Amino acid sequence: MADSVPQVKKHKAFNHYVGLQANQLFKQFLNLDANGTIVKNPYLLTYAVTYSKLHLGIQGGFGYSYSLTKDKLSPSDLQSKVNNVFYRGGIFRNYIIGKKWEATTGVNYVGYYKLNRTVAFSVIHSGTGNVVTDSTATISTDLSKRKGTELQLSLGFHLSEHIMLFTEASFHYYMVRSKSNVLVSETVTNSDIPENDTFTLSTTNSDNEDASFDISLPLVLFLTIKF
Amino acid sequence: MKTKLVCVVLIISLYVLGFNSCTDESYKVTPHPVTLHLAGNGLTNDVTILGKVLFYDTHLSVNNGISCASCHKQTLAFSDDKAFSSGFQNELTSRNAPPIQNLRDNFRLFWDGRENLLEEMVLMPILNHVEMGMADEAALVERVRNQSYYHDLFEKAYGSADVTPTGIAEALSQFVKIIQVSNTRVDQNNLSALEKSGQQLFFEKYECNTCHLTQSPFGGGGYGGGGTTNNAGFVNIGLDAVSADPGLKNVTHKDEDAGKFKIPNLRNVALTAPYMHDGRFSSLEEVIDHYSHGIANHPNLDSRLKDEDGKPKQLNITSQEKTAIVAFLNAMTDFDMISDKGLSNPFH
Repeated sequence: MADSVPQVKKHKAFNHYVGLQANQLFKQFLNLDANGTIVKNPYLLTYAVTYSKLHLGIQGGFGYSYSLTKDKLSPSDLQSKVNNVFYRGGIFRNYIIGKKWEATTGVNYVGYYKLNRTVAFSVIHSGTGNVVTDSTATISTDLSKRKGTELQLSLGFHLSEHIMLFTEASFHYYMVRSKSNVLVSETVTNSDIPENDTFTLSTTNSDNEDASFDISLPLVLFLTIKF
Repeated sequence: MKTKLVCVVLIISLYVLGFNSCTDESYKVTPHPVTLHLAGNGLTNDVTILGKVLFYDTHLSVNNGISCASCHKQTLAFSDDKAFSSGFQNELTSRNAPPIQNLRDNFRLFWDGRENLLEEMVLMPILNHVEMGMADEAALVERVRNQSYYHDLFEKAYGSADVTPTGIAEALSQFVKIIQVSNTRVDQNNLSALEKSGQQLFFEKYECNTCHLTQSPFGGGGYGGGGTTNNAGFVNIGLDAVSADPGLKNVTHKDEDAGKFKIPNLRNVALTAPYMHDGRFSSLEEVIDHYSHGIANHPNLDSRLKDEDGKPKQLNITSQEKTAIVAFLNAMTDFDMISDKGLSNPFH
């Protein structure tokens, strides 16, 4: 008769959580109203690791969006490329509530980087008889950096042993610095009086700082794998 | 195994994200030459003509990218078809762009009525850091001065080619004032049976006209009589139990004005979706559903939307009644205004 050894469940020293923002995914599956409440949480991916013994951990989040806009808004033709990068990192404490629930409270450093490059061209003919042409080319670059602190509260539910659904609320304080540069070249030509043709080049720079406080409600859902 | 699966998902996600991160510097923008057409548009006042050119000129934004008309489109009764419009950096505005029509001086302007004077109002979007981004009036004047066609336009309008902020503001406000809606089938009393049924429901059964005053071209809110003391045209219709947007309170700083917004003019309402200050309703049917059974119990809810017990009214508008009311509202469209060449883009 073989000895039967009682199985002792090993407690892992570290638990890893990898999350993916799932609001759009659920909207598609559940055919929810596309005009529903806009979710402001920008982090597409999150990662956290906890030390089981102390229920303390470190976490991070990352989000990215890119948009390309082309507009013909007479008299200008416009193309705009916008890159947004969001990131955060911090520490948190984990609370196990019963068998199915987990909650966390944490503090993060949050950052945001936005780069907007826009090019606009216009060529305008005016006048009768002497046709005057105004040509304008504009290249504008806007760089916005935001850094701050975030207090984060999360609540997670175990759908299974390894799959969880998390939501979070957060309170942010940001310092924002925005720099922009607009380079404009303008040419005016007169078909009959070429000696009156003009060319001007101007550049405008601005540098602004601002601070803001914001609250994000628990509307975001993260589909999280725990292992 | 699970760890490997997670890693694969992560790698694929990052690849998809990274693919779009390539920001090559080649801008494939081909400028299409346009001609400034000023003749044959029916306008005779030179100040108004100047105002029209300014209204449609993208050079009035800091990156020459957008004009007033970018968010106030003629075919949409000079409103926008988005909940929030995109400014010169593609940042979104904080409220829905209202239609420009039947405006006049001493008229409460914007959703929160923070401005009475048209000549002050017309420069605000141009100098707004989200909308058109001009740093100040001096930058605006410099930009306008650099466009050669304004030399003759200002000369004809004011007898001098000198470009001034006052001249720009006056011209824009004069153009905005000529955008009038007065030729709808409701004004002509030319309604179908369904539309008449909707009109009766609007006026008599549900008394929508106590607020919206459709018989007047200026109907609805906006009556200010000068100054900011008359707030009768601003109401809270119970969109939320707690207002995220303070509305009129931003101007008066009174708690009793939280969540109150200007009652809009319903002329051309069929063209001005989405609706409300935040564009939350995408159709007139959704608006009617709100009044039917969706009014929230806000502390500042207008008394006309409360029942005898002080609770939000449940109008319980039937689907047939909704169809009739929408038909009536659709009949308030002025097709002449939205196709009027005198109001159209002169750059083409």
